[in-house]
Amino acid sequence: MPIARLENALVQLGGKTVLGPLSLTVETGDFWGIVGPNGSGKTTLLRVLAGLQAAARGRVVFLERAVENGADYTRALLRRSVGFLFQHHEFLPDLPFTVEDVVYFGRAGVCGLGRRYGAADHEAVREALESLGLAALRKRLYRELSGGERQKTQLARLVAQGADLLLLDEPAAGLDLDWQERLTHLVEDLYLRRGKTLVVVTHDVDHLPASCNRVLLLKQGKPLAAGAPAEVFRPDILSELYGCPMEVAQRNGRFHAFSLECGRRKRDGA
Amino acid sequence: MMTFFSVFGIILLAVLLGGGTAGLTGVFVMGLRMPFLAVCSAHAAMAGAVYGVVLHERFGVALPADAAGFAGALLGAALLAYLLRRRSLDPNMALGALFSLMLGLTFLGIGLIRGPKSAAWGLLWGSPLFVTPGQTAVMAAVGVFLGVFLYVFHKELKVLLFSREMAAVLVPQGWILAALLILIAGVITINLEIAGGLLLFSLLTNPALAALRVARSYRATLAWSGLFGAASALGGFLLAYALDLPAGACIVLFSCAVLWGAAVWGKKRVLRTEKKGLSAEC
Repeated sequence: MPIARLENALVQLGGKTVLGPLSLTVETGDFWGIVGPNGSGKTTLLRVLAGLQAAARGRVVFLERAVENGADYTRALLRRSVGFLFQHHEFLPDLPFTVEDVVYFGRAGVCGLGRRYGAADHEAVREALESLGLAALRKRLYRELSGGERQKTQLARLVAQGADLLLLDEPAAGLDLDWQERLTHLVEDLYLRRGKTLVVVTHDVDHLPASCNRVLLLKQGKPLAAGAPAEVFRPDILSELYGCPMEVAQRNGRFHAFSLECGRRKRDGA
Repeated sequence: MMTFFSVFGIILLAVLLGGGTAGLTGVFVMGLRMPFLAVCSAHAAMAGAVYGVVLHERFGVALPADAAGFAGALLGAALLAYLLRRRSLDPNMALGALFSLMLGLTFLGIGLIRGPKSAAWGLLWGSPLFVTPGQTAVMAAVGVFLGVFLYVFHKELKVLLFSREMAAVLVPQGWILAALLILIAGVITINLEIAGGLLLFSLLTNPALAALRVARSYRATLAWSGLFGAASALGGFLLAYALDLPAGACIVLFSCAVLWGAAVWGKKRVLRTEKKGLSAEC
């Protein structure tokens, strides 16, 4: 069953087209990897799927309901059904929010406006903290965490929210290699163990786990290729995507793309 | 003698209510990274109150200063909400533009007043000694509204304070923010008489900043900020009363002293915790 669908969606910012026209169907149980260089419209695509960005043309359909002009019923539905992990979220480090507070935020939209958290909310938060190994850190201040621990806390927030569709914007970006791997495994765990439908945006092919079963390559806001990872992650297609010769390797089901020439060719003006 | 004490009691109550509510709302003004919101709303309220005087003088429309001030602050909040909907505009830039507009309108309004301008100048500096029992009742009502709002929507407000971007995904951010802006407008209006439009900014920001130096949770931040706000207003007022100094200025300077004290206390606590951690490691 399709959870979200874009039909010829076109997004413009300041009169400039930043995404589309693009059609995409996210079915229940899909694990989509959205890959592209910086500025290719990946984050915009996630924002459209989350109802945060309106499409200038085309249609956005969520659970068979059109997301139109921010209608309240779709907003409430989106708040319950979609979890969004931001690449960078600004927060005031002076505010003393604990790890537990941040995980509870996931329940804010589920619990209902102005309602107190109930037993189900407390249980969801407890389970999320324990399953992600954050129980010992629950009273630690969020501002005192490392970048990797913060992302892990944000994943716990998504788990507590219990949303069916998770939209993850560069979950492993900006972290050291150890944390990149840990986060990649945690994302895979969300899919394999918890049965979530995932759309993961990344500029780095290496950050997609082996279980990713659909890939969309975006270049300058337009789809370059879409399909199973083995069909899309080919040297010729990735070379076209990044504008330099790329090589692809596969190990334990995961794809790794690398180029020894990209930077040099661009520096030399080739 | 009895009258003196009852009048003084009402003034003290007004000072405590004004300072406490200013401290509480200050957490949101600072938490939303919009410190300029306080000064902008204060000037919008001041402009409203000044034009209330102009309307009364020119057209005989008798509008209480508080109501006119609240209308001005609401108009300012509505304009701000409209500007914030345009995501391309940075909130602080929108506030800067709005502040200039309100300041210009205030001084134009003061210029338009034909009779004595002392009431208008009073709005700039503030003086709790002129607070009436009616105004104190309004302050208490605003305080109750604020308390209920903070209690009922505490989880939504926490998300909003943590990240507006995240709040947009998780809660009806627009409604909560609009309600918060209206409450901030109300709190600023009732405090015009206490600290004055020019100095009110500090009564909103300093207690919140002080609370952020010492608190270790959201609830504690609110509690400390309300307490620091009330203490600043009361301490400043009593100092002004004892030494026959301008009340608004003393309140603001007292809030600066509270901030300084909290910063020292917070720093000492961090050092103590670090020391404890080091000895535990040894």
